Amino acid sequence: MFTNYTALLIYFIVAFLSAFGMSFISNLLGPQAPGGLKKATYESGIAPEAPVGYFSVRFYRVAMFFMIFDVAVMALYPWAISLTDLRQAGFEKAVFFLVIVAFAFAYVWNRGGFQWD
Amino acid sequence: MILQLVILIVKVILLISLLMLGFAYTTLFERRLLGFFQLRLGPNRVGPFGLMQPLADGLKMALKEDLMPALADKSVFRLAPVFSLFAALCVDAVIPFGAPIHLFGTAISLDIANPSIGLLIAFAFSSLGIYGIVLGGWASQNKYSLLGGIRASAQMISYELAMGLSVMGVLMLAHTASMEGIVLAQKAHGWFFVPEIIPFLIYYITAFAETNRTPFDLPEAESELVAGYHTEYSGFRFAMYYIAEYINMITVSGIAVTLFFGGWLGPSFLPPIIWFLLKVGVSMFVFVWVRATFPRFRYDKLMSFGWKYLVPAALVYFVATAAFVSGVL
Repeated sequence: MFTNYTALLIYFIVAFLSAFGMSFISNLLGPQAPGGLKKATYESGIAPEAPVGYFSVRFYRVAMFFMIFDVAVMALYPWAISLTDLRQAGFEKAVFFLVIVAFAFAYVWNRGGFQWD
Repeated sequence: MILQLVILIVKVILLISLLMLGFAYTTLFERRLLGFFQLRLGPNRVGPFGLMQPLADGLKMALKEDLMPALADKSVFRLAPVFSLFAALCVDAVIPFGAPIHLFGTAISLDIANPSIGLLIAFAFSSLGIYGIVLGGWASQNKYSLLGGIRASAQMISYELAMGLSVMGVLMLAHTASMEGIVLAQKAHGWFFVPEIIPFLIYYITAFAETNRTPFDLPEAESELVAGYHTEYSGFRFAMYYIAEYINMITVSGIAVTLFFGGWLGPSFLPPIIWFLLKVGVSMFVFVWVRATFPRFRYDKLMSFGWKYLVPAALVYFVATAAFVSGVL
């Protein structure tokens, strides 16, 4: 009998191999006709200035907020599954935790952290 | 032992090929429907009712030249679409497509595996899909691609928070995170969209954002970013991003059906797997319907909608469900 995780592992290996194999289809079947400006970066006719890699700091901010609040949410998954056993005591403790999270959320909101401009 | 292995391998191959087939006919379904929404016929020339169109499209993609931009980071550029498709395929392993069937004297469950943390595995892999997009955008060394990739990651992680909160109520009611267990819990308690209608709506909105579908298709907004993160891709690598997007659509529909609409449950005049596919089909129709109806969001509105409306709404409903389940209310 296979455990669930061996079955998943086998599936993941097959899925990766089929995705990996698929990425070579055009190399095998497609024409190879180098030349011209085919390999140039498409930037609407303007010559690209390499390297590209800088972007607005606002994206970093979103990533940090996600880290903070998603970890808080993740901590509640096991709690949510066993809530019917924890009853009222479990609810009160989670509300205490959520009030702290909500306070942080309100603080970030108030400081304009969710404002995109 | 041997029988189990054979059954498993057959299931693995069947699931991957069915997902590919599902992808192919979803594209046709979408294009025909968009045609009707826009008072035209859509593709109907290749084969009867255009049924051979996906085959022609796939062949066309496969026979294109595979271009590698001179400035691109070669290995990352090659691997990014593989990663995107791999993550999309992996999520479906834990979705039960039907009630267990009895064959060769053993019960065969219609999913690859049913671990007790099924829902968490599904979410983990759907988050991994972001890497395929952001790495593809970065490796192309193109400003449009980079912006598309970065936008995609910011949008997907923002909406993931609301998505994670919205399914919490289902976990509380079902008392398990195993997908099979959630379906069976709905057999006992009734479908969860009745008590959880607001979390369902939040989940469904975030599902559109997670799959980069209209009205949240900012990562590939063609009016400003040419084609977003896959601007530099050609041939079958380009097709792989499309396959990943459509398989993700099937997957989020499958998860929505499993969590909120009873999975394969239904009146017994149709087999369970047909019920599951019908429900997923309705969800796919809504995806196309929304695409034909709504214009694209502006980026700042998209971000503030996620953080300022969806997350607080999901949080409030989550506390209310917790109070109900724990017996405080």
